[in-house]
Amino acid sequence: MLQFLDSLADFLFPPLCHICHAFIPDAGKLHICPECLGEIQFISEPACEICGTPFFGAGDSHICGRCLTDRPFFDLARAAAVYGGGVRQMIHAFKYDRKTHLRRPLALLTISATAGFISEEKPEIILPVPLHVERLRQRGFNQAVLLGELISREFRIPMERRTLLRLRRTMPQVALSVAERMENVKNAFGLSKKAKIEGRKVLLVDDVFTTGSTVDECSRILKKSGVARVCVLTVARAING
Amino acid sequence: MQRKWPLLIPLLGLVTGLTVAELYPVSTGSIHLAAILFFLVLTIRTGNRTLHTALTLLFFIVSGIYYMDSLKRGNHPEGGIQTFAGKTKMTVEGIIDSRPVTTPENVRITVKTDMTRKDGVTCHTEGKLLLFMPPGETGLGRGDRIRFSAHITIPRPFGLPGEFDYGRFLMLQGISATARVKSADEILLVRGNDRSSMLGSIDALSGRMSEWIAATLPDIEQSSVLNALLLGDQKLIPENLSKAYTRGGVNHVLSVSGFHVGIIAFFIFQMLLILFSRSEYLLLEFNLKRALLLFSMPVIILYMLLTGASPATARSVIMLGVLLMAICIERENDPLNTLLLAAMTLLIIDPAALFDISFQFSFLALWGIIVMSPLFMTPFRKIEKRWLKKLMRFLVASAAATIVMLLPALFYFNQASLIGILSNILIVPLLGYGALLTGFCALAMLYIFPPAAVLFLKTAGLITAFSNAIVLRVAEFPVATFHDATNLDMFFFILTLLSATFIQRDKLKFAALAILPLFAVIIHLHLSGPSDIGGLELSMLGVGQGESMLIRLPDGRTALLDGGGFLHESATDFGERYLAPALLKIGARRIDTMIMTHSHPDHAGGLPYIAENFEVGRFLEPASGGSGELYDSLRDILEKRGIPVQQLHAGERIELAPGVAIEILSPELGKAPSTADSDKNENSLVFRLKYGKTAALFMADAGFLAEEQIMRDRREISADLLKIGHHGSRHSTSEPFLERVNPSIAIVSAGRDNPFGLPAPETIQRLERRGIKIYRTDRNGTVTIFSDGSEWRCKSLYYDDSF
Repeated sequence: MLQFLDSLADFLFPPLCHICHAFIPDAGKLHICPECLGEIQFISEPACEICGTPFFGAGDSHICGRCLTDRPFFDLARAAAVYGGGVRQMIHAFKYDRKTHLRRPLALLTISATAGFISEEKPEIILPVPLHVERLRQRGFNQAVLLGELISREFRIPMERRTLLRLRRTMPQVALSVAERMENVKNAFGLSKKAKIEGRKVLLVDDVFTTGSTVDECSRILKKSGVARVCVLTVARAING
Repeated sequence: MQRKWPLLIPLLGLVTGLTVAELYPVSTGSIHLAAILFFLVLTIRTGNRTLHTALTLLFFIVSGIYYMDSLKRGNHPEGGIQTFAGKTKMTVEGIIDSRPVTTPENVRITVKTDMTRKDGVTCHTEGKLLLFMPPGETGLGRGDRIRFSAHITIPRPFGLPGEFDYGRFLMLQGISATARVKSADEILLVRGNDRSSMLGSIDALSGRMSEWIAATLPDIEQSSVLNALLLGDQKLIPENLSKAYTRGGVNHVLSVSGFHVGIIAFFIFQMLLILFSRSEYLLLEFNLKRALLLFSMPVIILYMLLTGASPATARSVIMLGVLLMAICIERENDPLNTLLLAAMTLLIIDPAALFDISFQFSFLALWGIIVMSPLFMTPFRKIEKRWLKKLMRFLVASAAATIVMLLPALFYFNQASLIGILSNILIVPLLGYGALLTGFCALAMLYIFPPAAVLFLKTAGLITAFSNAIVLRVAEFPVATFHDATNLDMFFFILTLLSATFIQRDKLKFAALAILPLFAVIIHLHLSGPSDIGGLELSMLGVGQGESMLIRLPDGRTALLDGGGFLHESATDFGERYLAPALLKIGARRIDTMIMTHSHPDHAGGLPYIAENFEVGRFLEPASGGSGELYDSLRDILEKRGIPVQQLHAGERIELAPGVAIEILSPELGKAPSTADSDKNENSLVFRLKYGKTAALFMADAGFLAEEQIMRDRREISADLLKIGHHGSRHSTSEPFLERVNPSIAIVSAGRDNPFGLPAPETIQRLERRGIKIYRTDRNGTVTIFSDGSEWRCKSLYYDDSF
């Protein structure tokens, strides 16, 4: 039955690449053509053992200088790909052009690239990075929730949509410097009263990891409330320079 | 075996099959279909892709042929309603099958018949009948069982070149006969809502809304345009306004299509989103955007049913549905594939829809937009500003649609306009966003808060009035006219579009795009080049009860002898509706000599339109002149256009072209202009045409009296070709006269089921006894006779003798 539905879907909507719209014969679940897939820069080791920043070279993974001097509140952060090219294009269309169907390729990319990491860490609960309610209304959806839904379904980890809350309306991080970003999100988050997260392992999900100040602030709140371990999972991460 | 466009081959096959079966008499049986299907299934296992593709194509071609074939035959089952066609009135009973259509001229009701009665004998019958009645309130709706008495007729074209075949048009809709009643009182409602249906109640709703719009907005120009936008009924729009919208290239806005459906869906979606996104819970717990898109679908389907589900509307609703499905299963959507899917769906539901102009225009326009827009957008790729980019996209889509529709518009309507590219900028937002949305709100408010509904509707009316004013101004811009677009031109056009769309290799594509149009132009010019007919060609046009002949002279000049028309003066302009398209189809764009034999409406009816719209060299009429409203307007036009008028009497000789002359035999000089009908006939212009050794005698509506006079005059009247006088009346064409003329071929112009029984059997017998070959327009349609100067021979007949 499922197979029939699949071929019906292939018949009505022959698989097209989400990035370049080229037809993909014999596509699997992920509809990104081999060319576009080849251009995506996946993040691999060696990378910082904490924040996951890739080192792009030979050698072993170690803790990066920044994490050594200014240790973040989260324990680990991993991302599937470098924020650029097709991935950037998809995330843009997803968030700003409201093409919510793009959550599927983005989540699938993330799932396949970080499956090993998830099975090692075994997080017990998924928390999407929240949006302020006004921004949520404006956009009509929270991209982290939509991504988290698919990740939660794949790894069978429950997701809590209204545990981590945004208390304060912040400026968009995009236009700010590193220092301003940290100041911008300071005390922007809180937890719902019913939250039962003490002593648990949390997977914090977001679309892009830029400087890490947003997820770091979330982690600070979580840790303060007694969360045992915070892992951060994003689709992409920005590489400066 | 995945394909980028899985439906391309099936659709191509189906369309080819349907078209071939429509143009040529081919037929096929279900056994062929089954055999191909059997082999098709076999190839799925062997996996030979080329063979599989070829068989798929073949299967759908044969399916198309099979369908058309069964449609042609299925319309004539034993005992079908059309078998009761005849000269006596029948009582017919049946159920109204679809929403009655009201136009300014009449009301049309499609009846699914099941019973007839005559002289107390009741017969079971089947098949659909189209019932006409004068405009007015009927109170009848879909599902009502009615009974009426009327003559049942099968519409059949006169047999004129380029004539619109109304019978075939109805046949494609499954309607096999027509009937007419004089007033709504002649229709007896046997049982209201005999077959109740949801569609019937939606019709009733639509009817109430339409009445409300008309009652609220007294200006018919406003209410009729809103009726078209909101309820899909374009037929109430006054003709001049409707023509202005066409000339302005914006008539597409008046037919409910993707644009309207899209705007309304978007509007509903936004409204729901604003409403539901008040709740943070809903926003977080559900994929609200996706859910709300699905919610807008039922409203869209209601809108589709309310507007009568035209092909363009159904196409858009299917495409919107498919788009929503793509969003739901989170895949990319290929608009081209969706277009193929929509076309295939509609054709499977109703294959004959392919021949519906609304279907063709809707799909061609969207196809053009999908294929051409990206090409046209290339120079504007770099535009960053969002609003500018959106504006450019809109302009480019409008330009693409206008350009793609150029040839189809010329093919169907002989005129096209490029002004649409500009007029769309104003009219689309005004009507599309403004009037449509405010009007839509008005209809919704009608059931929530009526005072607001009136306010909304008045606003929509104002916007419409503004749009109408602009359109009437824009329509003054010149339009391109071209009368020679052929089937072959259309074939090449479609082929070019197909290449632009589906050829994947760039080099091949550009080669095709360069060569195909060039090839088309060469073939077109070659086929339509000035053909030297090398003689004299006489076409007696199949104009029904009237009479009209076109003479093409050896030097390329033309003479038009009478213009056909109806038996009585009629509101329909015979010249515009029938004669002009026929002349253009034949290729006669200039009439060097226009001859009127007498001023009866069945001979002069089409002349005023030709005199006004064609280049006319001179006008000849009998010395006795003419009279009547029709004649007066003809003379006014001739005077206005400065066309020289010559009055002729017996003994005069006029040269039509070098070597071709006419000698006037009647009326005699000094015959007083007369208004009595029989006098007009006897005083009509009779002449003998001479070309080389051949001669033809044109008797107009002359009878025995005129014949005797002519014989007394002792002028040369022998002729191998005789145009029989007065449509073959028994008071014309006497034995002595035939003896003197001694023709070998006789031609008669007469309509089918002539109320006076013309041509008279006596006359036909007189001709047959002498072994004269007879051609008659009631049986042969247009008859074309050719002379090379040594003999006359029949060149072509519109119909063989089969009727």
